[in-house]
Amino acid sequence: MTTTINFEFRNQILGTHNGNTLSYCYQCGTCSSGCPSAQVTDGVYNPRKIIIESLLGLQQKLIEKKVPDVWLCATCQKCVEQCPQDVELTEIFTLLKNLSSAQNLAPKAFYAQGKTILAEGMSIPLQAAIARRRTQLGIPEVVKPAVVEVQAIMKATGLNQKLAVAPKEEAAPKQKSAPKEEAV
Amino acid sequence: MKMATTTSLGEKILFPGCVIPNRLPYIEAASRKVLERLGYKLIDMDGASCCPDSIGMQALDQKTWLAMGARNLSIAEKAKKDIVSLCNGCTETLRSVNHFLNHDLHLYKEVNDILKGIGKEYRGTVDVRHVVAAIYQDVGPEKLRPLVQKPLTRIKIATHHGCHFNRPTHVIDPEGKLGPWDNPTLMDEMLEALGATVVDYDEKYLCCGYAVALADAAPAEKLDAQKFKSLIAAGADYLCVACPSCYLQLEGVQRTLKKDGKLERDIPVLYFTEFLALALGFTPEEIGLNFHAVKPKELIEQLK
Repeated sequence: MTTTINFEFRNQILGTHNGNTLSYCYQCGTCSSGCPSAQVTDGVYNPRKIIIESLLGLQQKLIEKKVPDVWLCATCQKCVEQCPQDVELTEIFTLLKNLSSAQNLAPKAFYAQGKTILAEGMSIPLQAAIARRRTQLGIPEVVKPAVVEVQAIMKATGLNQKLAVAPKEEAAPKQKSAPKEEAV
Repeated sequence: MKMATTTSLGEKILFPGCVIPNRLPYIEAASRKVLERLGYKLIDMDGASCCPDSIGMQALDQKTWLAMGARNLSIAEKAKKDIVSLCNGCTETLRSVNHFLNHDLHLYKEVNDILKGIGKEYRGTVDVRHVVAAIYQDVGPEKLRPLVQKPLTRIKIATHHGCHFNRPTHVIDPEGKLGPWDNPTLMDEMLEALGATVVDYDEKYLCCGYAVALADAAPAEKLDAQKFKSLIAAGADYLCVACPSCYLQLEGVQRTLKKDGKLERDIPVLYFTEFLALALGFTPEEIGLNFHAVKPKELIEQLK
């Protein structure tokens, strides 16, 4: 197996406002030892390894092959709080996720949510049943989001283009673990 | 019944987010009722969009996340009112946007260039607080005590503030007002003031796994099984949360866990303001407690 090293990949991370903390890492493993995701995935997710692979420029392994899979980060920020070197791990993982997203490699639920926000301005559109329930509960109507402005922002950042070619979703992300009664 | 008087806590913009108004309106109802009873005047944010999601949108494209967050903040800035948010994620997003843009001139300019296109400007002049933090700081356990009409006596509650309630601390809580990073006790202290028994448990600060579940449900279920086992062993009957994502995850996962034999009994999950509303004398019907998927039947009985 050949290993491809991409030095630009490391520089790309180091060049961002929090990514520069990448170089502080001395691989003590505090992050992985406290990580809830690492604990329940038998190391399929491993923050220490993600950091060393970023430092070594192992872009292909990390982004394309997802070894380890950065998308299993729970974003719980425990590693950030515990890191003795103040490495901004979650911020670095966000950059990696952005790179992964741009290559259409994010889990489908993320594109589904992005598309919903692009179309509706909200990650969950209002359903008629919920609107009725709101009236029943005596609370005002939901504020209407300025969808046009949201779309203008996504156009300016180019996210709308990325979403246009993103993989199709099976289900909206937040539906997954939603209580059944709510779907009335 | 004689009610203890409350002082005016001023006008705040209520930022309910996406999940609560459009999926869990009963949490919004409880929150609005409680906040108004405590003396806040709530204002809606005109044209507010998704915060956007600190997990989803930030992972897709951080620049869009910052710009959309800054747009929401700019609306509150124009109204010159601080924000009270009902969601850990929204609070994290809006506080992070403030933090990043106020600490990075390059980003500040870049985001404002984008906002200029829609006739808006971000300046960084409003404060954003989670509703739990706001109530704790503006009212606090001691002043809540005399307002209690129905004490939550004999109700055993485990709390789960949720990861993004105060983390990363250097962004969310740089002044250390929310307690230690791994041990915020704001809800614990206030629930005790309401008469409840707050149960300490080993996995109190274990993540609910919501973000992992977006990629793969299995690891999140393992985390939650561990969490429920721990809080049941400690004797809790209810779980109190501060975040709609934690709520959906920890309530929704119970069916799967029970089916797999990993959860012995239902643990109704309530949002903090629901417990507070009940203690302040609102009825379960008024706050739509029966709309929960895991129904707090015994609690409703007990409060009759």
